Amino acid sequence: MGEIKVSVPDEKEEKFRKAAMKVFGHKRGSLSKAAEKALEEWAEKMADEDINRSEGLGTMLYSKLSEADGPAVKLQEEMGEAYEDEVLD
Amino acid sequence: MKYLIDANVFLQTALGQEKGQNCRKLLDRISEGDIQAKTTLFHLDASSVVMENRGLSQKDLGNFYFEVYSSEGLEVVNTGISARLNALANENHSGLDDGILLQAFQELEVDKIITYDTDFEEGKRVTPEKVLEKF
Repeated sequence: MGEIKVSVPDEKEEKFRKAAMKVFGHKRGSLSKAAEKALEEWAEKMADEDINRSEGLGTMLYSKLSEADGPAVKLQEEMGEAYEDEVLD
Repeated sequence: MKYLIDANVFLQTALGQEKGQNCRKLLDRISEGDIQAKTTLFHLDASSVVMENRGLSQKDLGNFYFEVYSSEGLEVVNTGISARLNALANENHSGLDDGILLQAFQELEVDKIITYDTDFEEGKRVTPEKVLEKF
């Protein structure tokens, strides 16, 4: 089970607690059940609306290292040097 | 067909040029979920360190991880210490980088490694260009 800690205004917290207890009863776990349902419904709604802020991995990354020389396999072989530079910096 | 992506595919994309265009198309198709692929956290981080070392900004690195995280068809696998031990115990002396990828290739039951590295056996590897021909 994952855990999410959120901060919300007091009035929203109270409203949510009351609604959760009305639906799932005044007992242990009712808040978690309500939160799980709310999170699931929101995520599904966003998926239905096809909200997509991603431009695509390839498009985002393309030509970002225009100053560097290829080929990539050679660049990959520099991995050790790159780590060394990071560690010794 | 399931694929495992080598770090040089990310690096070639970032380098641009003609090959980079093909890598860009491939990664975008993976982002859309049209192609299913996996990569290891080690190879992602290795790519990032090289790119950072070559001047890629922190913001762009953040965008890189965000796009990886958002990609529908890309699963990032965190291979453990045992994978490193097996990689280094292998008699073909492929080194840590290639060794971890070969270990992941075996453990994850993927069909091909997408790479430009010709050190891998021909039957195990495929270039981004060849993958795109199929889609």
